[in-house]
Amino acid sequence: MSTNLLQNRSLRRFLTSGLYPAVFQAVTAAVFVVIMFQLVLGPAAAHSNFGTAMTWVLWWPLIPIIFVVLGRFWCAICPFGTLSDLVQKYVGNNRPVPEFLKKYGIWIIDALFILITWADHVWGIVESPWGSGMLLLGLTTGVVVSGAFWQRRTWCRYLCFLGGLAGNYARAGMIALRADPAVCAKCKSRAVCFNGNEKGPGCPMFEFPRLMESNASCNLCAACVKTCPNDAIQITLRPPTKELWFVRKPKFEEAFLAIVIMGIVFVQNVTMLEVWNSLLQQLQQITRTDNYAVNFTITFIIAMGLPVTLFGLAALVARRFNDESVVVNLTKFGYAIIPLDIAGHIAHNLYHLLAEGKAVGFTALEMFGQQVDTASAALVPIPAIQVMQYGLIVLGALASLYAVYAISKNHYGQRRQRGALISYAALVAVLFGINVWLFTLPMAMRM
Amino acid sequence: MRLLGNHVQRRSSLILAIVLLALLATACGASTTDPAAIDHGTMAGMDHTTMAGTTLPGDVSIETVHASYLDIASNINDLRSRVAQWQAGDESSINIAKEKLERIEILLSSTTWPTSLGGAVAKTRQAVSSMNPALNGTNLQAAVVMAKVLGDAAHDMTHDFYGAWLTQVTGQPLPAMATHIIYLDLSANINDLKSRVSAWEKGDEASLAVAKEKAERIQVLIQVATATGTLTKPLSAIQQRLPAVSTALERKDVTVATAALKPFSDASHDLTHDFYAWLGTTAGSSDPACAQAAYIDLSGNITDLKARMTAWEQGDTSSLNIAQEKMERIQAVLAHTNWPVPMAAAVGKTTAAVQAAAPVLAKPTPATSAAALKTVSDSMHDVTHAFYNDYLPQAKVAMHTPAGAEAQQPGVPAAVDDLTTGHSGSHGHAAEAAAASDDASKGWILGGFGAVNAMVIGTAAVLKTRKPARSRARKAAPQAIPSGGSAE
Repeated sequence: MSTNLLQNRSLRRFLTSGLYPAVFQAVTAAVFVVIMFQLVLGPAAAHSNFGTAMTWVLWWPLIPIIFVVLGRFWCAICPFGTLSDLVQKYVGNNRPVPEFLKKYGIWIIDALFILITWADHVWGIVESPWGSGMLLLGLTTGVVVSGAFWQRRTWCRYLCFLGGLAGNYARAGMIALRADPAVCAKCKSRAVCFNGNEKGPGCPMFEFPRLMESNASCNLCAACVKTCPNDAIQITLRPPTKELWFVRKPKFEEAFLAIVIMGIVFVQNVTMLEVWNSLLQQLQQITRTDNYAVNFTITFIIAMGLPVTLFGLAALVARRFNDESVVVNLTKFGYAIIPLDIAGHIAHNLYHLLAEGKAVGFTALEMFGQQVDTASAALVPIPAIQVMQYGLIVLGALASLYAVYAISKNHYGQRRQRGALISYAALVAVLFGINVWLFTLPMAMRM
Repeated sequence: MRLLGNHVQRRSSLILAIVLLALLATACGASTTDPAAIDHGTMAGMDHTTMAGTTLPGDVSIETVHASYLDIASNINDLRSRVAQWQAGDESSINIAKEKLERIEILLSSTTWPTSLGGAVAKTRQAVSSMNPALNGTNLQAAVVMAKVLGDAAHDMTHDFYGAWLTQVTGQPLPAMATHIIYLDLSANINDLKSRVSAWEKGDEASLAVAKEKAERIQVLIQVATATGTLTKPLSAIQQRLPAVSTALERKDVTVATAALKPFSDASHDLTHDFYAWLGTTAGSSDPACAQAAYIDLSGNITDLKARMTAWEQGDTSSLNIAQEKMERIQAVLAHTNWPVPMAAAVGKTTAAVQAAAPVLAKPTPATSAAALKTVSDSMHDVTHAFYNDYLPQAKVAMHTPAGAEAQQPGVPAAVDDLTTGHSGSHGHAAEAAAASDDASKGWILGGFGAVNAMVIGTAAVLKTRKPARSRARKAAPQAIPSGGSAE
């Protein structure tokens, strides 16, 4: 195991103090209030709205990067999580999580994620501050309901649409929180890390550190660091994507989300490209309607279906070699696509972050009544952004290829490994090619 | 017991606080209603029919859609020519192009579009957002490509506007205030028709098809204009003389077409004369569509005025008369329009500048006219800024999704009922009432969210208070240790 970051006394002191994560929560909550105020009552035009700029130009592009670097740390300081904690503290009924949520939570997350992406395109949520405000208010209500009736952070663990994405991305993250099994074996504290004690609450994400194998649900809130009487908790750095190589209990719904995210990246890219107009026109001729919702829905289904179909084909080929069913193949190898998902996601949003980044400052100044001239909002020239995008896609593809290799090696012997490996490597190559092609085309902006 | 009593007391206070919060949230929601809406509601009976806006199901206003379409089309043309100038080496055109793009964005987002234009509007929106990175990144190559895409989108929008939308609303009764925007469109198309026939006469064969298209649009516009009940005489004259032009164009007979254009042109001249006379005798409403039409008219006339004075300075003596005519029109528009508050200061400045310039232009010298025009031009710049940046975003000429706009065919009883009897918001200030009602609905939505959240919190608090002690004791006890890595 690599160096335990908690050996650093300053860091341990900070994480075990009452300041963490409260100090970050206070900041994000305050910013969230300003954003909500702007979205709902601020300028109607997206390009003048500070809330839109903060949400879609700064936060949304940064979030996948945060997941990769810090795992689900964002979930610990997320204003929705803070709201849930507050509601729970004062009026929470602390009822057990309903069984259906435990069983189907990830499917609900999958469905919500797809639905919100679809709704954004059909109703222009990102382009409309009011629409964005309504989305956040809707989520707020969900959080309040969850916090008022159910235990801990039921919302974050089982319902948050971003939580599913965060879980998948955090698996590829560079930070791992685990308990030292040797120390835990001698622990007689009746699992205070799960149940909580006078030093702090139990794990809000329903994790039991002693048995944790994944960082998918750990939000690094350090509650377990505070409560553990034996200092068994360790936070270590690890190579990105390492966790994907050894998923012991792969779940189909998680693998499916990973595959679908690739489709979402395609949709996000395609609809922001110049080619989208001509595609739309061709589609209108086929469907014989110019109804945008109809034509977009068809595109959306195709884009979602494309990676699923490609994966299905790869699984069909692979089953000949590894003697597993298509579903088992999808379940095991679906995780391998996560690095490419992350790369595509970050590369897409890098454009918004770097080509429109100054919009955050401009809109902030406008919020205080300062006139901003129509200077470029770009932080970096577009050709430089494109180079970074290609670089990310190449890195993502390489990481996915290695994940395919590692998964194959860990699950199957040498003989059964090769055929499946070639099949999934071809899939990664195709998805890589599609991504590269998409990033060669000029893209629209959000502001 | 005492402890339990204290506990219940604390919970009761909390519940009371939550109920108050809910009431406050609901009240806040309601209070965001624009007081003007209430005023207009009470004024409805007083300010009837003559200047009433036309709100269709889905709060789509015919006049607003028309005005926004014209403004967008004009801005897209300007944007494309600015990109062309940039391509030719004029770097200063980039900022103007950005400004135009911003205006198009504002118009697209501040208008409630009918469903039949939804596809074209979405395309235009997409094209506009595609143009953004090119202009912001000063990427000329991309801007040229995107300008073409934007032009295509605008072409589709024009096609759908005249082909689908205007045809749909033809035959529906329209308020007198709609005259202004229809006149502007009609006048522009008539001018285009004349110049296209002239170009065709000079050998430009491509102009024939465009001329035919213009003639078709004029035909549709006349039918729409007839529904306003104003300017019947010149409109009827144009309607009578148009078929001769159209037939000649169909037969590709340039001589007959040119000859037929003369009486048609005279009728259109009468239309312009009668229109501004009508404008001078009526008072405009503060309906957004009225303000939009007036702004477009004012802006166009001031641009023409400057061009004519420049021509006069360069020796074209006939331009002076036309410039003076433009000045009269500018004065008529300024006086006719009930300018909205966000534009009032800038319009006031322009009115003063125009009043000062009028006597100067009656007997101009190059030096005095240039100074007078500069003042007018500068103040008009402020009007433009106030119109796009202050007025349009807050006027929100469109706040609702254009659902139901397809039900605008005359045959649909609900639509006809709304138009003929005038529902609550359509007496005089339809779009303002719509804006106010939108603010109100937003307020209610926010209040609704607040109330729902407060009710959830309240219910949770009540349930928590009623929870038996046994249950609480169980909660306090450590939970079973999960068998896996998580509670699952």
